[in-house]
Amino acid sequence: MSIVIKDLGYEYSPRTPFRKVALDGITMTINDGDFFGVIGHTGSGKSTLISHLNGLIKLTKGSVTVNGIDLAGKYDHKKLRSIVGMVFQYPEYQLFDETVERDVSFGPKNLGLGEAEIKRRAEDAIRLVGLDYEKIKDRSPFELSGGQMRRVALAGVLAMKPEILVLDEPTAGLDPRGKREILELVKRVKAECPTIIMISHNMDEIAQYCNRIAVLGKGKLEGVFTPEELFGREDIILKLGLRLPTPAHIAYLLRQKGYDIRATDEDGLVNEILRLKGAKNA
Amino acid sequence: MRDVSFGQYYPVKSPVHRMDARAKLIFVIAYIVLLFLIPTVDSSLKRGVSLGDYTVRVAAAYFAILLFMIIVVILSKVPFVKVLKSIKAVIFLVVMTAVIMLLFYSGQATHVYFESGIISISLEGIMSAVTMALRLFFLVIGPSLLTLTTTPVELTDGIERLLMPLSYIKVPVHDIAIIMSIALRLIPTLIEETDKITNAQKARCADFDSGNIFKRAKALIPVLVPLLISSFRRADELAYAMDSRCYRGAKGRTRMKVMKFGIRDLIGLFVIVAVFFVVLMFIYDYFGVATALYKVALGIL
Repeated sequence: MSIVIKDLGYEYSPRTPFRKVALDGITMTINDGDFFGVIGHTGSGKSTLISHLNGLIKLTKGSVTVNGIDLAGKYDHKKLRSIVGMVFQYPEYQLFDETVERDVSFGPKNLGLGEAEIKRRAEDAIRLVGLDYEKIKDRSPFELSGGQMRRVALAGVLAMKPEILVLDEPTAGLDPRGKREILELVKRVKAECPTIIMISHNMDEIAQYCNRIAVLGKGKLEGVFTPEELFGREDIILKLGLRLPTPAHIAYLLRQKGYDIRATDEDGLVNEILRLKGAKNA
Repeated sequence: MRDVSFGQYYPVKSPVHRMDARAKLIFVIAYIVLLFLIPTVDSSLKRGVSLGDYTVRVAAAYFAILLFMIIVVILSKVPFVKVLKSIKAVIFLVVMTAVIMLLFYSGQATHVYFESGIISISLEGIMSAVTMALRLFFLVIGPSLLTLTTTPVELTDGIERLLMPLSYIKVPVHDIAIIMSIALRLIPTLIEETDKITNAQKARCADFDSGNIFKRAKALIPVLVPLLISSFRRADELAYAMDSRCYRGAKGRTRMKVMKFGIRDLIGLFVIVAVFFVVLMFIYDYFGVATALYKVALGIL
């Protein structure tokens, strides 16, 4: 099972002066078990693309199949949305209920699950995001810290037990430590929800966590790459006006000084430097 | 939510768009006054104008206004469909008013077709229903053309300037204007925010479209609570931002864009006066124009 996208196109406010082509001829496949990154400039159509995946935007051109569900035809919205969990930018702004537990239960409740199952899922999800269930369940979500609120919002989506988790800039607005915590959390979640799609502007995050990366530019797909392909070739990156991840950038600068170094993440860079050092000493 | 097209600014370049907002506001007020100067059936009959004569006069007057509006719309480069769409919001009101007028006309009536209790259908009733519908139609078209061709910012600026004399009697004109422009500025933001939160809750399988009215109202809570909270947050942030840029209200404040009453606006003034005169000429039979028209109409019939 996987997500198959063929020739997907989308236009905002068609037939008006506000008309804007958001997506054009997107064809790609996201496999089960992928940690799939989506990058591109603001307005390149990333959010529009992912909003198609759970039917928030109605398919108008092309075809999208999610785990065998054809989004062009008639399908069960609830089922699709329980398969594809969607965490938007600043998800803490969607919290509304009186207690953390009730807010997290909102999704499972909408799925029409039994009382006991809802409670169990809410508890599991709150624990999964690394919060103390007993301590936090009866507190108001609005008195939590920013990072905690984001975790609660994430738990609200995870409580629906999605098979595919879509994250739109999950680390936006967090401090470096908060960023790392959220990403490590996502990595942990991957054991339960094997397919993850993540939009990010932070190339370091993308290089470190994703195994495949789609690059969007002005609504068109520039290609799907592995991190090594994408960040090993600064010509593509520069052509698209993107930034290299810090380790890859350091490797690039060292290469210009005459060192033969290729790396996309921190560990790779350290290993390469150690290798060169070893070769020099030998 | 996004498709609220009632008078949404239509961004093209045209002579109408470039007119001074103050001038446009005054013209629209004049236009509305003009519409109310066209008398009703009953008052005309009481003045001793015959029904046939009245029909010809009113038809000629509305025709003149229609012609004027068509020219303005063409000049403004706003598509007719866009202008007509603003009617959609009030179509129910127009139809309801017309039907009530038709059924419950209580003025002088000579040609009664049907009468039962308080309901009576007469030729005079039909005429007053038609003129009322026309009046409402033009009443909506004018102001929506104003908002279609004027940005909200220009509009509030214009209103502020026009209301300035009131500040001598301690009316906080500037504050009212800034409140208005902030409110207008935040409408699209709030719509966007509503969209976002709705989508987020939809992604959690929230159901907004089924069940009875109470269920639906309750389903909105997950959207309204976050919306309210973010509005307060936004208001706070805006206040801080204004404070930190030393905003202190109207005192000693100059404007970045100074409004100028130009040649374009002068032409507009002439045109609106001309239309005023033509319409009144038809209605009140200056120079016997209306009588002549009536005779011509009788001749054709």
